[in-house]
Amino acid sequence: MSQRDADSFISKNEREFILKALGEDVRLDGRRPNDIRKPKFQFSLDDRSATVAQGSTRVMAVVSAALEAPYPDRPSEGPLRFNVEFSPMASPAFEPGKPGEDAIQVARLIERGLRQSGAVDQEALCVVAGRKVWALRVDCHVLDHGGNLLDVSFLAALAALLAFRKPEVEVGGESGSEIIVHPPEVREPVPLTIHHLPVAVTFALFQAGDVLVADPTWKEEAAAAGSCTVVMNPAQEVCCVHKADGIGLSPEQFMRCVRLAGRQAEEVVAGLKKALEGHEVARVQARVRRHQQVPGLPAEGRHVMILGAKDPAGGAAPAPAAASGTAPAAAAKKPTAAADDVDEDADIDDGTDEEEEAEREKAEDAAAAAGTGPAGSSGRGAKAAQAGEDEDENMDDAGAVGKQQGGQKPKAKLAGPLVKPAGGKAGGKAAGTSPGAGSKRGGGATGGLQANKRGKDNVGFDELEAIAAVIAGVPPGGPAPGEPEPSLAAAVKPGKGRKGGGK
Amino acid sequence: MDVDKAGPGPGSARSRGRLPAQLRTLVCERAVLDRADGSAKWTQEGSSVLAAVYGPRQAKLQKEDAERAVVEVVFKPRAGLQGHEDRSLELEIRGILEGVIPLGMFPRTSVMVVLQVLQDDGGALSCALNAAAAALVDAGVPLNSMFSSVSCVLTSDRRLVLDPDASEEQAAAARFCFTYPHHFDLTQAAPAAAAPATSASADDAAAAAVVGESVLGTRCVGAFSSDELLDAAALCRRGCERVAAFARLSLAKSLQAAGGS
Repeated sequence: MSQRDADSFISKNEREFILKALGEDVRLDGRRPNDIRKPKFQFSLDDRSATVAQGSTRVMAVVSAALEAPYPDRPSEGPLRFNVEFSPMASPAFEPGKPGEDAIQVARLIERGLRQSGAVDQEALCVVAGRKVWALRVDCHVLDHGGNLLDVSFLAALAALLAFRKPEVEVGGESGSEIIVHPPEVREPVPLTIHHLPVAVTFALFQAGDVLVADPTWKEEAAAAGSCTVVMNPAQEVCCVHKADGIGLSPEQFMRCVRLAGRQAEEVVAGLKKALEGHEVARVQARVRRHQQVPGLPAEGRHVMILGAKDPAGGAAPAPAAASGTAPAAAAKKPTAAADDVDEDADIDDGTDEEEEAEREKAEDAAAAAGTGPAGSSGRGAKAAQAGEDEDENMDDAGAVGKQQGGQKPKAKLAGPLVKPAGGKAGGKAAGTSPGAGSKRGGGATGGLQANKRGKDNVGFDELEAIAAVIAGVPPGGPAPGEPEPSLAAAVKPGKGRKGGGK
Repeated sequence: MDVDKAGPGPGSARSRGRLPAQLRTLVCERAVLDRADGSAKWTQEGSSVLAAVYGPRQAKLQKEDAERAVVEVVFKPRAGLQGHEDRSLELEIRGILEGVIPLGMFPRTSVMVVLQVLQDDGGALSCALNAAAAALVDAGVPLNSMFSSVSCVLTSDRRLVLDPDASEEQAAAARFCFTYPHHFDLTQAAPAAAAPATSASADDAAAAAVVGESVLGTRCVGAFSSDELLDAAALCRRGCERVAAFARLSLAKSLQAAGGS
């Protein structure tokens, strides 16, 4: 047995054991034939890569974008290329060098499922038609081969595209001769336009096509007689089908595949969305940290990030419900008079794009109960007051309040103000998390709210920076020489945030 | 060379107030992959490299050597295809590993080390070498000595700064990466340890990392004087002591965890 066959070689005993177990509806790892392994997602903070682990299969996808001239026959579309590499670390059978035919087949399927099905909007990548477009390239590195590389690579590519943020671009000059690409510190990078979320589900076929096994492990793949892949989205639309080699399928079995794939697609997409939400929180925390270290930015912060959109107190705890829970408790000390102030601002409505909406959603989740966030109704302010009266700040109470807020979220989203008046949010954040500067916090928060009232355009970056510095417990000039920078993450742990501030 | 000058001040612009001779936060995870014989993920704050080791296993006929093991290194960048820079890094890493693995012990076999850059924020080569060291230990490949690697840069005002991040590397006049072998002197009893103990509390004697005098490998890019080179070598050697101490600690912890304590 040479190394090249390490993945396809399986002993007769093992093969018979797998088949026998399938006869009793059981698989080697205890799953039922239709169960897929639950994928775990991990995103990088530079908005460029996603790693998906499904069982012991691990794939990392990295998105890179470059401004290039478009193809002459598609002048207003940005190209989207996929490259899948079976890294030699994934299996003893993979060899270094150019991708083999298996890797190319996986790349081709991902392209059919994500690009040709119209999932990624390529026209949105156009900057100057005919001259400059964003050319995206997705590299999928297979890190560990535990079976079903196609599905996991597909999911990793999709997750990376969803997490990717391209820099904001301004076109100026006559006939678009000047293109300014803004770095992420100056202008918030923009997510891609993705129309639907296709998910690939692969089935291994046994027993002359009678037995279907979803999400096979590599041993099951080696023992299988054939395979079939269906790419579907949660709206139950079939995007792509791949049935190329191996044993044939009867039409009934094929329809069964399609139905099962539809169900799995819903579950997988739900898990992916949840993971992305969690990642959003971490992203904003990182953004705050980044802005604290970049002092020389322009003072008119009109287009500058939505500092404090995610309450870092919300980010520290793992679950969003718990996150919104800590914020109400943490901000409970804040005088509820502030709630009245902010209700006035609830009238400001913004036509915002997706990202800002999503961010506002988060902010409401995390900081809403404080009453400083966009309070959709004074009912929320009342809840915050209740939480304030409740001296016993345990997580259960706060969690319950948080869940109620979560329920009201959809309504509050439209009435929400904030966004550009980032001072208001920063004020909310200050309320949530000050680790020590009690009196300053009050000042910072009211200062922030007043900035909110002054109007969107008057929020200065210095102000935001000062607020951020206060939150981190750092004197405005920067950390004292020799002192290590106080870690924002440490400062915002729920326990510390609550106890430390405002007594 | 005033490496211990406190920052940040107007003179030192390191982000987050890191001292010029201060390393970034190190994290090492072992046994990360399922199929590989040994694997490790080494993170230096913004830079992260995943290393996997297969071997010693049967070498392919064209590549085998009748008298010694053959070391193959694959270095994969984060995005895009492998370029010339990556191939040259492969050659260098291979040179270092050939010095450390007792090749004569395993004729006709191959040891394959695959390195995948997960994130690159400066010092990727050092990160990769450290990851390779941890992965080799995880795979149980015998080694003549452990090794650790650290990068430093010469800033435009001719100051040496250890463990640079990407922006510091870009702005540097010269970049250095040194790899030193190290071993632990277990013959000294804890209270009598001459060298400063690097691990705080340990069941075994707090053995100090003894970093060798001779360099296993070095990669220098840029224009610098010979004095600056020697200073960089000395600075990196100090850095390697700390990396060595961390590697030992992390190995001890992961063995404890694996041993089900």
